[in-house]
Amino acid sequence: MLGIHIQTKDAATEVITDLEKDIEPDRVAPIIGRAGVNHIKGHLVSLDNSRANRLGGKRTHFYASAARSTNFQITSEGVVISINHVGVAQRYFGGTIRPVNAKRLTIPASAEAYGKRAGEFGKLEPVFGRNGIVGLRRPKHKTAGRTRQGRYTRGGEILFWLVKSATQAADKSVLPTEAELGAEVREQVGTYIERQKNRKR
Amino acid sequence: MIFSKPLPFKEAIASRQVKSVLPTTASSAQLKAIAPELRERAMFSARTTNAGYLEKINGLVTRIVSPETIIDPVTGERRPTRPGEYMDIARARVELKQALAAMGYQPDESKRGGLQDLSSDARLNTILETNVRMAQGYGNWQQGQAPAILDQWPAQELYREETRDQERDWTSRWTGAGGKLYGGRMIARKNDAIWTQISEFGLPYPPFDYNSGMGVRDVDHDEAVKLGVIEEKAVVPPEDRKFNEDLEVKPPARQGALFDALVKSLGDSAEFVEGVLRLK
Repeated sequence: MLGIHIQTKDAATEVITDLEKDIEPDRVAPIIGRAGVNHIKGHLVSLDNSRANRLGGKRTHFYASAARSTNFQITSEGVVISINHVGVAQRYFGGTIRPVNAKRLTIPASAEAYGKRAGEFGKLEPVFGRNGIVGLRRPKHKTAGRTRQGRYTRGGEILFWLVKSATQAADKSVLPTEAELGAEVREQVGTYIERQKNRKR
Repeated sequence: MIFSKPLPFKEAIASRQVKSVLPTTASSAQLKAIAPELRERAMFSARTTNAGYLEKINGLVTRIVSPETIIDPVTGERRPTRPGEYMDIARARVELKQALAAMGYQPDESKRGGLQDLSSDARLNTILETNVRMAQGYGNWQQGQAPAILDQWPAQELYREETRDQERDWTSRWTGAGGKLYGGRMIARKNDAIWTQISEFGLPYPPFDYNSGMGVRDVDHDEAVKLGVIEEKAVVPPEDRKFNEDLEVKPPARQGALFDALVKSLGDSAEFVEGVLRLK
């Protein structure tokens, strides 16, 4: 699942029914959309600051990147907020991922592998377990060098684990709650309408 | 209600569609001589002369920005993306490395792994991330040009969106370019010239530099008035980068118009040799 679509019509209905007749609904729809986008972006950037990858590898800034992909579109149904980013829906809804173009999924086993594909490391060697190949590692170099303690070998680090599928639990904290989102939208639309009224007085 | 299918980010996609590939022998420093409004209509990379490779980058960036749809490789029609077709930075990097290998590209040994090595992670990440962020930055900026949005959020703040191991001194850059601080915060009206002045690319939307972790966030009317950024009755007029007008022209003619505009703008310092821009 690649992204998320949030229909904000329900959250805004209460405010829209309060509209003065001379304030065009068309002018309010962008406020609803932008307020929702701003709130979700702020939430995702906060997550980015608090959730670094567990392996300690170079950060991909997944959540900040998702924040930048957040936008709104006005449709005949109302305002739709979308997060056009691969992986956000998977985290939010959870579920089982199975490989499509390969036999196994690759799960990073080291900080170096985080945010990368196995294909970027050149030739990797299989790591065998009881039931076949369970990982991929760098090839070992038999005589890589010498230290005071003697000869040592380089390579052999396991970069990826291979699995047939991976199941993630749903993480609803990836997004603000619909109640929080609705409250923010109502507040922004409310202040906007109030200002329009004041200007007409 | 929350669903798992996003709608396309139309404005960000338009910023990709408006681009024509611009093969060039020019360096990054030389390319800065090109006017920002022409650069934002060109898909280029310093010292990259292969048009096919630039098209490949352009297509991959568009797929990252718009992951919900894909152009079917068989029918040529746009359709919803299926599992296994989703594009992200890591996958795009693999595809570009494969494309370079297929072209027989070999980096100069002394430059291997650096920004001048077309196949290095550093170079590929910079190209992909800068282009993706430009599209999203433009999309966000363009959505914010609705008069009602400019009324409700007439100002914006430059802030640290992503951490960096080595952070640039943006406060000095901001104040050095004439930006004012409000309680230490870098805030200005959305149509203030400061936004293009702090940008390495001369554009009013982020990213404002290569690999920058800075972004912008809206500041609403009441707060902007309270801070003294705007006056109560101030109106921020919308701006337009005129992408829609360009998109009315078909791609080959659009590329021709871009090349003509480049020659006109750069004068004797530019020439096209077999479709490749050379800057003297």
